[in-house]
Amino acid sequence: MVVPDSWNQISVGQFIELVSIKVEDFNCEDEYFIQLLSILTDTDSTIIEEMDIDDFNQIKSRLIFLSKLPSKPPKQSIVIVNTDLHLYPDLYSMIIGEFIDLENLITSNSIENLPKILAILYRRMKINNDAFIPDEFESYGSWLNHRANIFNEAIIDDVYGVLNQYIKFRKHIYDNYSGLFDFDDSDSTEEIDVSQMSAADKLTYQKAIEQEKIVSKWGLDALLMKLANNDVTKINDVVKLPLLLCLNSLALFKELNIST
Amino acid sequence: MQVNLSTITLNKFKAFYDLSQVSDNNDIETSIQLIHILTDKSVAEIEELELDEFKAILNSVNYENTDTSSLPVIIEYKANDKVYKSTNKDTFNFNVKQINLLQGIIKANANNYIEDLAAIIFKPIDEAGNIINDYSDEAIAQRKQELSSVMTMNILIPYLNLLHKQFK
Repeated sequence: MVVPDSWNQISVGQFIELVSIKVEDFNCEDEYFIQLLSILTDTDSTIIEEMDIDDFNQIKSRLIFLSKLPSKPPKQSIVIVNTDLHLYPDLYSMIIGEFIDLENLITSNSIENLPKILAILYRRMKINNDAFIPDEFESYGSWLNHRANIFNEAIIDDVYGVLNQYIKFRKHIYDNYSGLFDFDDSDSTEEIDVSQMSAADKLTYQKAIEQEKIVSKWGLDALLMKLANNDVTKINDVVKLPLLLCLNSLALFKELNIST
Repeated sequence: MQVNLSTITLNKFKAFYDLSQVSDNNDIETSIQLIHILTDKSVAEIEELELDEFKAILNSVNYENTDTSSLPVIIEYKANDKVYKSTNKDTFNFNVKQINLLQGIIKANANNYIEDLAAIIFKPIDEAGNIINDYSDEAIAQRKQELSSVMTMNILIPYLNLLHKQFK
């Protein structure tokens, strides 16, 4: 039984399994450690139960590194299935489709979705070795679900840092475009006295309230529809647009009060 | 009348322990009952004992006053034509499963786990001499029943000492 000593001996798939088990779901701490060790060493738990208690306690003390999450910065390139995969070179150059997919994955369950997040952020690169033509980072495609599973084999220590890196980027985007991302679905709309408004103003106000409710319900999808000028057939084209171009345009629409 | 660890069976010790937990041990009535449990002598017989002999028996059953560190760890135990073993190795140590089970039992039943400890440590062997590691509730209950009236405390106490070291 080979027991890992550090995060660089643990795969993404093992990490996801480790995070999914909680000590409070077990009768005692030792039962939790049996399961933990079973995941880490790919050993049946009944075999671990037969282990000498002193050996077991010694192994437990070696697993102290698990109490802290991996903290290294992400590797710029990794090798999986004999393929060099490169980290997204500049997050600010991503297209809005990538951003929306990452948002959905991060906000639903970032650990469970880690292979998919990695599949978006680590891709093949065409190396041109040309002083005049940059290397080409693989375009986003429809391969996400197909290739995500291979990232379970990646070493967690090499890639976990992408989450922190992406979250910093995400915070920056949300801070800079805070007016666009006000998706709070609580009834926070400030009450305005409409009794003094004209009939036309009341109608405009009601429409604005309705639109705000729709944006709250659909979040980023509503922004996409806005960019597609409410034409669903254009969505596939819109998702390929650069994120910053989309956000700047939406901010401009909002500031100029241009409704689509 | 001689009372020592090799004459106290697990079920007697359990009854003795239960009574000592709920009664005032300095009370003479309780002391008579405790000696009655350990010696099978009738209360009337114990009441006839001379005071010095009574005190000597009481002193001999005080487990806390007894040095048990020199008691040997007996790995193989025979009872009712059946062989039980604690380990196939030369020396015994608890395994993860046993500690897990005992933690659960001790948590639920604080100090009264003597019979469970014996049933978890000592297991029957098959025809080839291999230990049958059955830790199901039914198997443990059966072993408790088989061992508690025959196994004596001198067999179990070395294991109890090892267990206390684990929980230190």
